Amino acid sequence: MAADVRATPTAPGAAGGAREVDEVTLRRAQRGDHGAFRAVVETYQGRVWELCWRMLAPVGLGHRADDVSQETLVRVFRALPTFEVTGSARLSTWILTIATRRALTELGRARPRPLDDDGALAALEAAGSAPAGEATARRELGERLAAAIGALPDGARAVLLLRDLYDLDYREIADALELDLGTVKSRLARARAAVRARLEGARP
Amino acid sequence: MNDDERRDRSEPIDLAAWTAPPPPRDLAARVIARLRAEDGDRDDGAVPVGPAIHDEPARRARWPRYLAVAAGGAAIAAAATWALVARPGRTPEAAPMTAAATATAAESALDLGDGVTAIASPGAVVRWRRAAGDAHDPRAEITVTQTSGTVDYRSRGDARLRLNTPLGLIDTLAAPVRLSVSPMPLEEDPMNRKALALGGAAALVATGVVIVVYQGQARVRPTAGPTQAVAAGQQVALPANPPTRAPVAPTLVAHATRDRGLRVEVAAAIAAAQARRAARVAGAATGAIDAGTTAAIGPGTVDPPDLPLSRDEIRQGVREVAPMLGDCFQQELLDRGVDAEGSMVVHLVVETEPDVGTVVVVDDQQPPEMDFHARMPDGGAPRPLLRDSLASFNQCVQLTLESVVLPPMKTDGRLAITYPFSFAPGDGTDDGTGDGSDGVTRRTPTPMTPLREAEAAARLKDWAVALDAAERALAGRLDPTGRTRAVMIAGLAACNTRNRGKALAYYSKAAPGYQTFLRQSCLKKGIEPAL
Repeated sequence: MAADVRATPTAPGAAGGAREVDEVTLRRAQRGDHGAFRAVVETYQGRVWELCWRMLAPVGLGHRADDVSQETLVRVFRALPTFEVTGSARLSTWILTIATRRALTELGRARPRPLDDDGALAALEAAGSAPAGEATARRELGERLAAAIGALPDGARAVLLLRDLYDLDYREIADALELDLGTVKSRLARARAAVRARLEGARP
Repeated sequence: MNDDERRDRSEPIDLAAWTAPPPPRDLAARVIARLRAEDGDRDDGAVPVGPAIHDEPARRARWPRYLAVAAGGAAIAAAATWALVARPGRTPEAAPMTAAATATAAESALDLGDGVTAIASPGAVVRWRRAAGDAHDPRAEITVTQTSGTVDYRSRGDARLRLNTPLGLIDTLAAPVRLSVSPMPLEEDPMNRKALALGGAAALVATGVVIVVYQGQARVRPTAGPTQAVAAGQQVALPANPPTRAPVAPTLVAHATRDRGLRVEVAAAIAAAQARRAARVAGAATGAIDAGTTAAIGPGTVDPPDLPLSRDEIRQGVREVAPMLGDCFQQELLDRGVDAEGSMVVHLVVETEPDVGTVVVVDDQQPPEMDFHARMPDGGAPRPLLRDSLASFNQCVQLTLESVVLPPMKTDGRLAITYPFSFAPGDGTDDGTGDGSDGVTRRTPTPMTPLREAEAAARLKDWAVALDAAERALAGRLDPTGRTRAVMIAGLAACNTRNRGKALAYYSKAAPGYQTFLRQSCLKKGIEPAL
């Protein structure tokens, strides 16, 4: 019986699950084994892709997510020997840190001109991937979320995504974004408040 | 949850409704293929992995600028590939670093560090090493080994630059230079035909290395022959002898492409240098900059006698940047969904600055004449594009043209040039007609659907076109998502054209999630659509 394989939209943080690669594979990848690194890529590519897309699409740069994801994974391979297998950090957190920085770099250099004063067109673009068959209410909520998150400053969006989508703790976010702990907390609080305010304002 | 999280009273946002598209199926395969290509596709599957300390998040080290350059512009990675190797040192700031690059297709820019930029033509192979200065001379020293191709080196800082060629060494200090290393007789290398024309010396034909100094001074130490100083505006060809160094083979590589931001920076640096020089000249001798006559050259005219530059010299210089002009057209219009074609006439002024050489500036007294139209998918009459919607394209063209390198002018004075260009989607080839007008073409886009046309027009704030296209889209078959988008664009366009009746109609049809945005846009135009 043939498997039913189709590309489906991924729920936040769901791509690749929360699975981590095993230590033997990781150590082989650290020695430059391409085969082992393929396993690493396949384990984390969904999370990397999702994060890059969510960072870039709300401001009209969703088309760059593929390249940024690829750059991220290549950099992961190059830097992998420096990752401490026995350390406290999860490999997924470390990889998402690199992805976040790459996305922020991309945003810093490639942000397009504002498409419209109120971001409506950006919201349209970000919502473009919503599947036609999805429940209308849920799709509209997703569109409102995309618009609200797209209106956040890049740094605030990164903090919000890393915390509320990928469950990094404050210290990990602070390390990832090279911020003070207090800055992370204040940015997160402001980002959440701004998103809620826009959602309330956009509620039909 | 740790203490910090407990203290934070704000509740997480439930983002579950915001779905992301799935990752491309071949992402992993492409990453692995790229690593194999960059690492030379070793059979044993094991490659040397650089420690890459700059990539490790925990060290909080900033990536070196050249790595940022290498990471950028992957969208056009197929057009220009750099091979890059990095071996980090003790600290990110003071580390000596070694890197190598091969430009395989289009012109590429690379930051060598400490303000030194290399702009390489296709086929150029360079390797460079940056070493921190010492107590006696704290300036960094960048040693470049260039084994083939043509590379322009520019410096914004005071780093010492040493160029190691198969035929000798060149030392410069913050001096912009062009170095051509050709494994073939120079007349077979198109880039060097221009260098030959510069000097007009038949003796260069059998030479493999030519250096042109644009500003300051360089010291050249040939492997055979005495050391000589080369002043601004001069060039020197090194006598041929067997290469002393084997070609460089990069081991670790990473893709990169031309960096638009860097190019802008370089152009800005050049412009700043030109402005400084002009100010100095003006200060030293009032009116001196206007000395001499202003000649004019335009299409369809015969070269006047005693013209400082010939039409062919100008055309050759401009055509060297034709691919970059094509990129402007591609990136600023076609890639933004604007299926455009048209022409523009640019007014340039060419002058000689003593320390800079021949400089090209866009005449700010005469804005370019632009005539561009958006092509209709149904073969209808093209719609003119507003000048505002061409602003970024125009800026890109101007920056590109001001990077044109021309030979020294034969006489003092100023040369006014009127240069026409035509732009059209095509197969990516330059079909310059040779009649004074350069055609710059790019890929043939797929026909635009009315919805795509509406989106493109909306991005350009061409609201009348957007409204018309959106209504045509709505009159046709659209899936629910497309219909939602078309209604939204029609509503935005109606508000922005102050069409109250249509604004109200489309507001009532808009998805609830968009109505707030639509209302805000309409209110800015004095229309309350919710009444």
